[in-house]
Amino acid sequence: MEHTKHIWRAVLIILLVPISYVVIHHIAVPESFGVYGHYRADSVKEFMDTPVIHGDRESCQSCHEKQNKELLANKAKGKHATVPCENCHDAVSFHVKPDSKTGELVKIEKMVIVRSYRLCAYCHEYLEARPNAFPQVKCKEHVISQDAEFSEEVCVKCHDPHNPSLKEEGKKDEGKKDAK
Amino acid sequence: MQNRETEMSRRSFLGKTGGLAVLVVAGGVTTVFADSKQSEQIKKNPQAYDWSQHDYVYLVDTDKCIGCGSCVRACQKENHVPPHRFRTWVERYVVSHDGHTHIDSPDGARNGFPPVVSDYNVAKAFFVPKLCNHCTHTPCVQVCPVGASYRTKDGLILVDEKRCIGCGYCVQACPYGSRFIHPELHVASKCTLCYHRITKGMLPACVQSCPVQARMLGDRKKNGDKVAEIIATSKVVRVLKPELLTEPNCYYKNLSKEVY
Repeated sequence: MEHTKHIWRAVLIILLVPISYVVIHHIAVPESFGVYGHYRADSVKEFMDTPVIHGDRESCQSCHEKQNKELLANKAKGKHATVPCENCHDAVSFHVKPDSKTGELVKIEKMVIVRSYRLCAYCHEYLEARPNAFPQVKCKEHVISQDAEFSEEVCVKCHDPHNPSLKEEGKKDEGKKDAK
Repeated sequence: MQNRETEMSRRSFLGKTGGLAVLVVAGGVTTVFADSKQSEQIKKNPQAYDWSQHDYVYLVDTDKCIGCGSCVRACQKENHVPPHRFRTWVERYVVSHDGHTHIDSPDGARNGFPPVVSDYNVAKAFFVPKLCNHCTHTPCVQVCPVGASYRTKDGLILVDEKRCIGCGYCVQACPYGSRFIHPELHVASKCTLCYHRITKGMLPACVQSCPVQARMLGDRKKNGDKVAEIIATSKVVRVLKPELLTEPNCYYKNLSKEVY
C-alpha cells in the first residue's frame, strides 16, 4: 500500500502521453501540414485560387475586336504591336468583371486613358542605359526641334499611341500644325 | 537524511524530464501520423493542374531591357505589393572606363528612371531586372522555423502567409534581397512567379507586360520549350552569385561582369 502513490503517478504519466499528443497536434500542426513536404499543402491551393488581375494578351480582343476593329488592326501593324494594352491603360479586372449569374463580362469602370508625355517617357526618354537601337528622344529638345510648344499632352498631338510611326501615314506636317 | 535528499532529487528529476519525454514522444507520433494521412489527402484534393509536369525557369535578356518599369508596375497591381516594397525591381548600371560603377534603382523603377548625370565618361550602361531566383537549394527555406517557406514540385519558392510568423530570418538569409516583411500583414512576402497565373496557363505579370520581351518564362519539362533551349545551349547565359551554390532558376542572358 505504501507504493500506491507511485503507481498513480506512473498511470498519470502514461495517460498524459496520448492526451498531450492530441492537444499539441491539434494546436501546433495545421490539418494539411506534411502532405507534400514540410509545409501546409492547402497553401499551394490558396496561391492557385488568388484572383487574377491582369488578363492575357488576348483578353481585350474578346470585346474590342468588334468595338474597335480599326484601332486594333492599326496597333497590330505598328511598332507598338508588342506592347500589351494593359501597360498604358489599366489591368482588365479593374475595367470589367464576369456577371455573377450569366458569366458574361460586365463593364464596371471606364478604362484609364493617359495622354501625358510622362507615360511615353517611361520607354522613350533618352537614357544612356537603354539599348542604342531602341527609339528614344530627349523629350523637351525633340519638341523644340519640331517647332512645337511643350505641353502635358504634346506627344499624342503628332504620334498615334497605338501606331506611333509618322512615316507610314505622312501626318508629320499635320501634327506640327496641330501642335502649334 | 541522505536517502531523503536522493529521493527528492529523483522526484524533481522525473518531474522535469517527464514533460520533455511527453513532447518527444508526441512529436514522433505526429510525424508517423502525418505520413499515413498523405495518400488520403491527395485523394481528397485532386488537382486539375499537375505540378509534377512542370519545372519552371526564368530568363532575363539584359541586352533587351529598356528600363521602362512596366514589369514593376504590373507586379505591384497583380500582387497588391505595398508601396516602396518590391517583388521585382530594375537596377541601372552606369560603368566608367576605369571600372567605376554607379548603380541605382529609384523606387525600384516603378516610375522608370530619370536621366543620370555622371561625372565620368560612360563606357557602358545597362539595366538589370531582378526578382526572386527560385533557387533549387535555397537558404530561405532552410532557415524558416515554422515551415512557412517551401519549394513546390514545379520548382517555385512560396511563402505561406497564414503560417509565417514574420521573424524575418528568410529576409536575411536570401542572398539576392528578394524578400521583404509586408508592412501591414507582418509576414514575409516575395515573388511567386504569379503562381495564380502560371497554373492557369497564363504568363507572370512581369513577363506579359514587358514590351521588348526581355523577360521570359520557360518550362524544362515541356518538349521543345524555347526558353529552356536557350538556357541549355547558350554560352552567354549565367546566374547571379553562382559561388553560393544556391542553383538559381532565374537565368541572365548577356549579363555584364559588373553585376553580382
